[in-house]
Amino acid sequence: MFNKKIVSVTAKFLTTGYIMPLIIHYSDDKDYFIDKVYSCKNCASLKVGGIGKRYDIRIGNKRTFLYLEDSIWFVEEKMESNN
Amino acid sequence: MFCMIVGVVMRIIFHSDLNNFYASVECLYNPSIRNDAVVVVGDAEKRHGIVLAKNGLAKKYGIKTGDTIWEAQQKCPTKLTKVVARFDLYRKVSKIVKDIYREYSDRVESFGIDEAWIDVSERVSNFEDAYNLAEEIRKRIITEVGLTVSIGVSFNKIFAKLGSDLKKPNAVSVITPTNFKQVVWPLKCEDLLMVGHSTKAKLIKNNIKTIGDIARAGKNFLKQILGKNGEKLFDFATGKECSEVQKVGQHDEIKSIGNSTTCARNLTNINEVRAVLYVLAESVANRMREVNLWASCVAVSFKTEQLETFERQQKLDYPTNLAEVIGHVALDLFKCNYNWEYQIRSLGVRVLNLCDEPLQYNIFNDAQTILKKDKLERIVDSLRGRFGYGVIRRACILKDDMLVDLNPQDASHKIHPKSFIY
Repeated sequence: MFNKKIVSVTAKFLTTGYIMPLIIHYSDDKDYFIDKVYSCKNCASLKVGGIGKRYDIRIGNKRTFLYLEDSIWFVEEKMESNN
Repeated sequence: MFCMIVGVVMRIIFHSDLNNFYASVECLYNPSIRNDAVVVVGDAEKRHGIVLAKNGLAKKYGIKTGDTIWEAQQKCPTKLTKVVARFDLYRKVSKIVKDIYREYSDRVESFGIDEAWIDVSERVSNFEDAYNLAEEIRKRIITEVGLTVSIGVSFNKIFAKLGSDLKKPNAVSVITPTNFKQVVWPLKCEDLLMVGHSTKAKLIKNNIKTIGDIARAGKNFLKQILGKNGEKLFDFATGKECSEVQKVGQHDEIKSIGNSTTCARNLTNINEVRAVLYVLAESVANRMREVNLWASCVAVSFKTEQLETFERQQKLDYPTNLAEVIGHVALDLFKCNYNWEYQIRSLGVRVLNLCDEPLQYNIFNDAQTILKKDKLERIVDSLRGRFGYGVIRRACILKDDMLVDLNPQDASHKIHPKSFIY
């Protein structure tokens, strides 16, 4: 199960117009620094629902996706299953 | 580079149709309902509570577009997920999809919110390449937008549209000049664009059941039974239709302007009908003034509580864009054509025979009065533009707020399929 987790992001706006996300502010006490952006593509999130730019990123040694839809950033948050 | 056939330049046109569009967008944005039977409905409190769209699962239960929520519930009593339509979201998604189409051609013509023709003649030179290109677009839409699309590939708009209906969902179908007789002609006559209930009835009466039968009937015979439309249908069936796919941004010629509404409750007397007709007439007149058009014909349509629909029209002595005239004619038409056997559920006002020439002054009309009224209505438009629709209203519509609590100028729910032949 996944949840659409809206997050705030610190990003750098490059002179080319490209928006480079740098830090994901996941919660009040949890920031994730993005170590690498592998790609940025137009993509739908079928897991949590949304259409926008999908950044394929690495945080530490983990790969994940960060989405930008209109001007809202979100991630696909894994939910604990009750079963 | 164009595809050539027998020395004639041939076009390659796609018709792209997003499958179960509204329902698919809702399922995309709410994955938890993806495996349910889903219907997208209008606002039930305003009595717009009919099924506007459904997903494949709801379709299996026999739910149809236009069913009332109650009917849909009867057909799928166990688990039917109802979601209220979010037109802003659908428009946003539609724009994303159409922007993808525009990467392939500058000739992209919308046909409603979820369909479009794309002329790719300058990009591909044969149907094999066209198929591959259509596949590329189909796959991109799945990946980038999360929706499935059916694409028809053909050499004219009509067959391209037919092609997109052949395989659903999520498929590409090709209809070429060499295979159309095998693919298209066995289809039922009503599968052809422009064949509605009454045309179908006339065709069946003359033993014309398939599209092939239409082609074999001949132009003259079809003209005899259907008039000008008969000639068009013949061209459609024989692959001779040749209207162009409009360029992006090219404006269509406006043929009519209209507004309609399903009332918050049934109308039981002429005063209520008058109030709603005048609200609609004001909206229509305002839209005409925005595009500088005048009309010389007014039509009124209404639906009874038994869901019977009527439309009546009347020519005017001179062109107008005055709400007062349009409302008056619409009301007269209603009075002359309805005997109040049942209560009225919905009303519509439409103007047609549009022209861009204002009033021809003559001895039979009082030009001064008309000019004064025109000025007055423009002032009302301007007030509403500045302070909102409710700032000024006619006395006759002030009696029942619930009935006239509609703003026909509110664009949030306006999604009109356009005419496709120019």
